[in-house]
Amino acid sequence: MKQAQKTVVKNAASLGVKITIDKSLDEKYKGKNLFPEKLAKANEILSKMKNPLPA
Amino acid sequence: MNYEKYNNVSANSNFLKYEFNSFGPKGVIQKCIHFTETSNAQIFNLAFGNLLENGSIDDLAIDNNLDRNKILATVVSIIYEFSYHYPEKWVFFCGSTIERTRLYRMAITTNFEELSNDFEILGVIDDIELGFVYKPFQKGINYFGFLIKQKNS
Repeated sequence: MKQAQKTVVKNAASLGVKITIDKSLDEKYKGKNLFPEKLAKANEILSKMKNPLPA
Repeated sequence: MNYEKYNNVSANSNFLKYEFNSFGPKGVIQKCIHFTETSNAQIFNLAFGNLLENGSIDDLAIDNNLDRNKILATVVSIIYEFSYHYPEKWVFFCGSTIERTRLYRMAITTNFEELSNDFEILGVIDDIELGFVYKPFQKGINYFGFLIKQKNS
């Protein structure tokens, strides 16, 4: 019998990386964009895209 | 991917900001990864750099901490985590320099089989006729940047 294919959704834990929520980071980075140039570069490239993203 | 990774990563409450420490001969270097919504709400920009003591970021540093692959594997794990929480969003990333963008391309190429099982992977190219377009990632092509999105379960 043919089995239905199922994609296993992975997260960091399933890859052996423990993610700990640190609420102090919320305050530390609140309202801050530490990478304004990277975001500007991304927006510049994305604004030039001629074709839509795949659905 | 069976690469060594940094195990202890901190995230903020909405899983958009991450920090971890790199350990090596140059000492302990604090890394941070931020996902920021772009002008296209379907796409988040991934930015990555060293967190300096004054709170600023250095995304051009060459650490020589002899853990490049471990850092890259940790970043990939963090992309998995982001995608777990934001499965409908695309992640855009490119290097701070041409060399780093090439490094990311090589990392994708090396691990393409496994990554493409879990992610849609696109590259941004400047086509002579079409202009800037997304194309499915292919080995051996220079890209301006990359977009990835978790495949639907």
